[in-house]
Amino acid sequence: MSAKARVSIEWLSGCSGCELGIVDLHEKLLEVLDEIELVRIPILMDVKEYVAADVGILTGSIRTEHDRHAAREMRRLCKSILAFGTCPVYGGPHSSAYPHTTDELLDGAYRSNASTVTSEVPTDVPRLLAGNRPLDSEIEVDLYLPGCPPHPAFIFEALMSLVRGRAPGIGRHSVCFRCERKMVKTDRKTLRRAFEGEFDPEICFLSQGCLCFGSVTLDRCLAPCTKVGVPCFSCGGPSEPVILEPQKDVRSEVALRMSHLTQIPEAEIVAEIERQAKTHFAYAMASPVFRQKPTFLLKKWTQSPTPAGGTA
Amino acid sequence: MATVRIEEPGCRGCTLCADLCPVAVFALREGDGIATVVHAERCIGCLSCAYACPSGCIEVGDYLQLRPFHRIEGHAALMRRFLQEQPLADALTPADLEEAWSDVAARLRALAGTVTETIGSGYRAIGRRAGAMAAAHLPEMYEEAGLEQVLGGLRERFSYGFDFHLEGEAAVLDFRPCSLCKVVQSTGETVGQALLCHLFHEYWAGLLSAFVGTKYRYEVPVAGESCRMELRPA
Amino acid sequence: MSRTIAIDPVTRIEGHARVEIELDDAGKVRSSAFKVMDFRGFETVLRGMQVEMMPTVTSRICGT
Repeated sequence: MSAKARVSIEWLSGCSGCELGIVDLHEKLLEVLDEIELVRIPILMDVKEYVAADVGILTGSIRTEHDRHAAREMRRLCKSILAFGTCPVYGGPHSSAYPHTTDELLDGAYRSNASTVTSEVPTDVPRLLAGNRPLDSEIEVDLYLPGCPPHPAFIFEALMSLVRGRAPGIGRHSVCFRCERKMVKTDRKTLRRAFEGEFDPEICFLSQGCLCFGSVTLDRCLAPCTKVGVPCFSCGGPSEPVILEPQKDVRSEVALRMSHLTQIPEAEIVAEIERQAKTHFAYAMASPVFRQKPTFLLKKWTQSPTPAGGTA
Repeated sequence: MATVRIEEPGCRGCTLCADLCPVAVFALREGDGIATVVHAERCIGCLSCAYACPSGCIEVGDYLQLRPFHRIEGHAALMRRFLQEQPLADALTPADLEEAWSDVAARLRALAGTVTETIGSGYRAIGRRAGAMAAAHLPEMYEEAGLEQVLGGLRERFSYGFDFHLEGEAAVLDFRPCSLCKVVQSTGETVGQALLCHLFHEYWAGLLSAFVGTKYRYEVPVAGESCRMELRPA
Repeated sequence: MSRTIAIDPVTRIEGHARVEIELDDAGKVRSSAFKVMDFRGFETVLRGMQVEMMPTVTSRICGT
């Protein structure tokens, strides 16, 4: 048999949804397995050690000392590293622990949790690091594939590009590209939440006064949520302009588009996004991408005494 | 001539490109309202459309772009790892950078001329105000940091020609040389006495004052090939 | 002779776990422990988030 590319998978702090994303390749998986050999995948195989491989896939973020050790071992033994999913790229949903200290988190989970009988913090488990961090805070990463989880179409392309040593054709579009809702100008004057009133399934959420973050989110998902009536919560992380341009950020870009489509003032939209910051930055809050631009105030916004949720 | 291309399946019909374009490159198609390129030859490469497009489906090519110095290198590197594409800056030669420098120098000389003509002696207030405004846009100013850390952050950001340190209450800025030095010399003025120098000193005083919340005064004990600026709370 | 059997990590499950079984001199199980090695703090993280976010974010507690 000709030499197949050896692929080793390890998970850090995450939910294993990304491993399922690989299974979601369905029939394509057979095509993939013609070219790669899975040498380590904890969810399927009983391989406990780290093994040498051509491609190392890491899911999950760096949260514990074990994660750090695992990431370093993978880097040492794998020729190229793929950061797979939003967690290793930006920190993932638990990156919204950013405004909290580790002690607050332990307190909420163990010491003062109404539904937990014990009040002790577990011992003899890997020590928690100071915060939740993306993978590249610890090791060099060769390819990023955000998405929570990435759509199988992107997984296939990313894997094949690494195995065949070429640039992946995965695009720089945002979620709107694949969303089928039409953006129309309306005379809507106030913001409303997704559960307030009826929404036209053919029309863009922004046109209807509901915050949706598709236009500032990199498309690694093919827009499944908006197709079934759920506004985008940006689980795939920020779009290219938000990453590249210091003066473009999630608030300003969404506000620009929404105020263009409706009669809602731009400043009101910006203020509402800040009030709901913990929701709308949830998946990528730990990323340095948001530090060196106006969103560096995220911690302040999420800790603001005004509770999130008040609609204008 | 710049090229403009819309990937049609991505157009949601928001009309932002057509409304923002300063030279009316786009038109909205009768019936479905999809944006189409009708006057690509007018494009000035301002990229307003490309950035405003919610889908990111407008591609502008063959326009002149200088190295995007305003970007943060770490974030640009991040994007390269998404797309595995080489950044524009790598293809630039020292001659390109030299050209960019002359361009900026010419603009600064023109700015100094305009300020002298139209504002006269009020220029100091302009410099201070510019500094105060800049303070609100520099992330280092807000990352839960004291003055020392802020200066540390700025020091890293401006590491090409500046050095900062604190001496007691005073913030000491060493420029070796200041990036303005060659610009000022090219007009035959004395470094430290030129309008651009004053504007820049006021800018720093304004920036620091806005951050600390106390008015700062400054002295420039050394000026020339290397300059030293000392800022003290008033 | 007493000894401890450790299975670390437990594979073919979702997430990180370790099993420790202590045997006494007679080879009988003295104690056993199942240790969950991962911690993300969802209990605290979810506070202050919008209710419409809950179905999408809580499904990320465990993806399998």
